[in-house]
Amino acid sequence: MFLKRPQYLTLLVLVFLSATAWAKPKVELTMTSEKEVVEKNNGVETVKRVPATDIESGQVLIYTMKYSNTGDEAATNVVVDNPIPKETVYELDSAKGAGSEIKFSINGGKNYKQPSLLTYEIKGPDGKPVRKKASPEQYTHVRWIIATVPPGGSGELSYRVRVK
Amino acid sequence: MKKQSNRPSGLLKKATGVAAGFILLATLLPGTAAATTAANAVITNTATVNYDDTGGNPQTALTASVDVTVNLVTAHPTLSAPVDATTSSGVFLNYTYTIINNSNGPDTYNLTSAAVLGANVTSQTAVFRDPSDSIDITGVTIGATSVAVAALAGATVITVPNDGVSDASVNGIAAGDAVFIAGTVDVVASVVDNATGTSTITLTTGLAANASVGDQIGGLTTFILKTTPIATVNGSTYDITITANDGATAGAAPIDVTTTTVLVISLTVTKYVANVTAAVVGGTPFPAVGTLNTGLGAGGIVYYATGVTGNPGEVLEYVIVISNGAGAATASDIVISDPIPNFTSLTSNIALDPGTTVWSDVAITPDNGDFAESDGTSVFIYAGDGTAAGEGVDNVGAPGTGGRLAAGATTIGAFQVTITP
Repeated sequence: MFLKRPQYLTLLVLVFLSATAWAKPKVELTMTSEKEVVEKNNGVETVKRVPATDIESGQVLIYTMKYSNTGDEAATNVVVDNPIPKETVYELDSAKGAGSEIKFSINGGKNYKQPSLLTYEIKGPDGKPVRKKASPEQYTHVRWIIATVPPGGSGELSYRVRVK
Repeated sequence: MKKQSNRPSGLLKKATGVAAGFILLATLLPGTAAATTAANAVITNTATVNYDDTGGNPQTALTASVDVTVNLVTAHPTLSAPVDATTSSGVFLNYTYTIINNSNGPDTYNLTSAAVLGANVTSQTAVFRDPSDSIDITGVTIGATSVAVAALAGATVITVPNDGVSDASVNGIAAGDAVFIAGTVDVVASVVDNATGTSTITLTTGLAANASVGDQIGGLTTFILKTTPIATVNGSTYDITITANDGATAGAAPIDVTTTTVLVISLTVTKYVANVTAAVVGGTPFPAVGTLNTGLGAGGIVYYATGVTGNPGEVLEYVIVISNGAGAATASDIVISDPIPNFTSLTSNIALDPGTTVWSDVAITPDNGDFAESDGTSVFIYAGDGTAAGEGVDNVGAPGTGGRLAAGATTIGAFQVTITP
C-alpha cells in the first residue's frame, strides 16, 4: 500500500516533530577536591596534585567541576553555582572556566557580580556611606555562566580555597 | 619559676584551686587563639547547575558534592609558671600547673622533668600527678575545637564542627571541662551533637568577647608536679625543669623552671644551772643580759653553762633552752628527755616558757596530759610554740607526743633538784 502525497507529508512532519520533542539536553556534573603536595626526587622538589579526602588548616583545596552534555540537544543558559565552604576562604583570581563568565557573590548568593563590581557600603567617619571593594575573604559564592553546551560538549570549572 | 618559653611573659600565681588558677590564667593569657578550622570537621562543597534547553525551558537542576575532612594540626601548648616555693627537707611540695591546648583538635602532651641539685641538696624526687593529686601521670590529653558560627559577647551557646562521633563530647571537650575561648576561661556545661554536622557547646558563663568563625577553643587542665627534697643545710635550693611536648610539633616545646628552697630543722638544746641556795658565778651566763624568773624560786637568777658548784643539801635550778634556728624548717614531735642528775632528787614542779616570758608551773605527775612530766628518773618536756592543734592549754608542746617549734621559736623548761645531803 502506498501513501498518497498529503499523507506522506503529514507523516514526515509528525516524525520530525516527534524527534524534536524527544531531543533534550542532559547536563552532568562531577566535582573533585585536590590538594598540592611537594614531592622530592633526587633533590628536586615538584608540586603534585593529589585527591584530597583530608586537609589541614591553612592548606589549599582545589575544587574542580567537570560538566558535560550527554543529551542530544544543546544546553543553554547553563549556570553553575557553588557556595564557598564556610570553613574556607577563596583564593584571589583562582576561579577558572574556559568559555564561561565568572561572577561572585558577597551576600550569600543573592547577587552575583564581577570582582571589580563587588562593593559594599559602610558608614564613614562623618556618618556618610562609604563604598568599599569586597575582598576575596568576603566572597560567599562563585557562579559560572556558560551560554551554550552543545550535545557532546564538556568543560571544566575550578577554583581554589584556603582552609581557615 | 625562673624561665620559660613559648608563652607570654608574666607569672601565674600559684593557686590551690583549679578555679583560682583559671581566674589567674585569664589575666595571664592574651588572645592567643588563632583562626583555625577544627580537626575532624567535614568541609562539604556542593555545586548546583541550572540550565535550559534550546527553547529556553528550564531543565531539572542537579548537584555535585565532595567532602574533605580537616586533619589535626598540632601546636605547642601554653604552660603556666607557678611561683617558686619553699618546703622542708623530706616534706613534699606540690606545684600546680595549668596547660592549654593550642591545637585544632585533641592533643596529648607528654610531661618530663629534669632536676639540677644545688649544694647540700642530697636528692629529690619529682612525679607528675593528676589535678586531684590521686594518681601519677606521664602526660595529659586535652581537647580542642573551633567556633563554627560567630557568637557575640555574653553568648553561652557556641556552635562548633561535629567531630564525626555521636556522643556527649566534641573533639575531646565534654561537660565540666574548662576551655579557653574569646580571651578568657569558661567551663562547659554540656555538649550536644546536632543534625547539621555541627555540635553545640553550652558554656556556664557568657563569652567575655565576641567569638569569630574559626576562633580556637582550647581545652585547659591542671596537673601537679610533686617534689620531695632531702637537704642537709637550711636554705639549699634546686631547680626542676619541666617540659610539655606532644612529640609532633616542630620547634621548642614549652618549659618551666621552678626553684625550690629547702628548709632544714636547726634545733639546739642548751642546759644551764644555778645554785639557788648559794649563788655561784660560772661561765656563759643565761640570760646573757639580766636575770630570769621561772617562778620556781625567788627569781632574779642568772644561770651558767659551766662552773656552778653546790654543797649537799643545796638546791640547784636547771633551765633547758630548746631553740629552732631562724629560717629553719619547723621541727615536730619534740620531746626533751632529761635524766635527773646523780646524787640529786627532783624537788619542784616543772616551769615552762614557750617564748612568751609567761611561765607555766606544771606538776610533775606522769602521764596526766601536761606538757611536762617526770617519771622520777627523768624530766620530760614536750617543747613547742603553741601553734599546733592541742598545744593551746599551756601554750607549749603537745602532751605525750611532743611539740612543734617553728623557725626562730624557743621553749624553756626549768626544774629544781636538791643535792643529796
